[in-house]
Amino acid sequence: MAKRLTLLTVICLMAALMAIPAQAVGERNLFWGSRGEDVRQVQLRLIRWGYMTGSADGVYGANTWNAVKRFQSRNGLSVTGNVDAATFRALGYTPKTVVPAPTVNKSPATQATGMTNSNDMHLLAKAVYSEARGEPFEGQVAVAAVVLNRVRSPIFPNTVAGVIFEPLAFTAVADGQFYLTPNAEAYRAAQLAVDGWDPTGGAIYYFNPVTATSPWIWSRPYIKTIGRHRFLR
Amino acid sequence: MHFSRRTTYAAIALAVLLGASLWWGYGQYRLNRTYTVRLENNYQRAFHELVWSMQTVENEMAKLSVATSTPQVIEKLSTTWRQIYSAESKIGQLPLALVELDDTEAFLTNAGDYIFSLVRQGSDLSPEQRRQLQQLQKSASAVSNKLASIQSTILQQNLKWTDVEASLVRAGRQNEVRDNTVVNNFKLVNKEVQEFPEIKFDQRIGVAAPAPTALKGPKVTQAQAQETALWFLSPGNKAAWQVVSMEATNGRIPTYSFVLRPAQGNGRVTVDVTQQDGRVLFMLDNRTPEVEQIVTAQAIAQADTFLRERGFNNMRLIGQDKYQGSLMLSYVYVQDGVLIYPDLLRVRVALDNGSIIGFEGNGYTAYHVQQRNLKEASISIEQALTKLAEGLEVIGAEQMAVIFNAQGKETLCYEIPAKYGNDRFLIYVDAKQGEEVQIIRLEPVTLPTNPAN
Repeated sequence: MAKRLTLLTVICLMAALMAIPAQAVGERNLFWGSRGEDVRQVQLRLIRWGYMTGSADGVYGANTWNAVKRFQSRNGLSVTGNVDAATFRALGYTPKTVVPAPTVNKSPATQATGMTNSNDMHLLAKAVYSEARGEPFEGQVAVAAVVLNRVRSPIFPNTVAGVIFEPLAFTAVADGQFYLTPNAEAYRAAQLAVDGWDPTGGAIYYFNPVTATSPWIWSRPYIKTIGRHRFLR
Repeated sequence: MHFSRRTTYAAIALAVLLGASLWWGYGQYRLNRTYTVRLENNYQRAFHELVWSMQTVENEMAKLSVATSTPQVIEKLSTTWRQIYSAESKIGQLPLALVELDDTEAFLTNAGDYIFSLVRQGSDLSPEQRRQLQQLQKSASAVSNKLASIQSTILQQNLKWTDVEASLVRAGRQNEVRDNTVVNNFKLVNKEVQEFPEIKFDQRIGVAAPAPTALKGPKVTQAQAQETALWFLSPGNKAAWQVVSMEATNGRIPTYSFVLRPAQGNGRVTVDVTQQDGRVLFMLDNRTPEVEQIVTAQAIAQADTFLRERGFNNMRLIGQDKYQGSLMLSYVYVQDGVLIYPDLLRVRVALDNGSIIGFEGNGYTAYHVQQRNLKEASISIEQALTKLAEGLEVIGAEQMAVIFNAQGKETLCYEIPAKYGNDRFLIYVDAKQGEEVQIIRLEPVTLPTNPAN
């Protein structure tokens, strides 16, 4: 009895939490597993144009995937099964430009980080966005700078991924906010930090005094405050 | 309606039970979510570190083919070996038990053993060994490119490893291959390795910056620092900016950190001035550049003027990078025709109106002195060129430069742009000892912006 009720409860809660997000068509690329209003719109169009049968349910599954592939092959697009910018255009939508990752500059003076490619830049931007969106721009650069200072520090992992995914190092990684899609500002902040801007003066810790739970964090040497974060050595 | 007392009790008991289970169920749900995220984070970390290791391996192997001094060779071999080992362990942590990666793993093991034997040999490489290493590098490069492309798919589409795992379990049970980008791509990685049965790798990161040496002047007061900050933002008109807040900071280089806004209009700029000597450490304008209006040449002219007006003379532009409506320019100090890489600074120009929205002088502030005591080179450029690895083709004029060596000491070098196969490098040969001290592998796009031109 209790078990069934629990199951029901969980299902109800899940349904409430998984309410389909509203997204303007073309705002993001679509692929197997995507769900939302934009998926439904694309499905409607595919059905109307005869590439797809069945109903537009807003869930990108096998049926949609096959339809998109058919659409792509008949329209001279590369057949990926994903709705990317080119496919959106062919479907008559205007894709919003996807933020490209910045590049990593190399010179003898700047090779001091474990940055090797633009994918690291994506990781960094995700960390910035999930940890510090809503902070002033210099506060976002500061968070990216702390990640890079940790990469350089001997007491932390020496890769961007290692630092970011270190268990419980960043709350936004622990609670899953990390998997949100960062905005252009977060990418700009990440790029600046990689290019050497460090508003924190070499900080390797920071915390929000309002939400911090560990008394230990107060014992670190303090450097400065930016926005809601206190930066520490 | 009328209920018996018994029914009422039963109803109350049921209601309590229902409430308790709801509470319990929600707790379970939250716990489950926490663990799923934690598991996902572990997978993500293992994967991104795997990619990093493979790229390090590939990069170090590329440098290895042009390294000639025994310490450089040994160091790169060791890094390669360590990263191969790390890559193997990361593959083991990924939920790919149902994907056939045997060849990839065998390749890693073999390459690791081979590299380790070279490390133990403790001397320079024979031509035959270099050929072997090149073979290995080809395979490593194929594998690492494939991994990088999976990585970008994962990042851009926000794919979850926990989902991959679930679909693998399903596929295994139904004995059918599900269409899954990640799984399919891993099969391709394995295929690449089969096509290149031999491998090799390598990479290491640069030197940590040594402690600041140039800040020797007197301590400035907060009022003096504020004057400096206002002057830096607008040399001609100190009333153009107002201080919003100030904090004395205690970082690697202690500063007075000012937040300012324009006297007219909106905006927010941070300027940090060092407490000792009163130099501007960095400036950061929060403004987002709008539609591009000016071309690169104009932006460079703006930056040159900006630096000249603030007393930065003899600076040479060594690199540029355009991103989201702004142009980032890197400069180093030049003394007697020698590039002083430690004295590096960067300027960021907004391409909408040409204003300077960023200045970063960490290197310049920490190390710049007007006149270094540069000793004469004791070997000639001809002698330096003979130190280069065989098969390396010089592709530009050499240039004298000062860089930090592996011990963090400033070293006078010949900077030689060179090509090996499709890879381009900057090779630094000590102008006194004649040893290679640093090898920088250039991205194809960064070469045209290099100092040689």
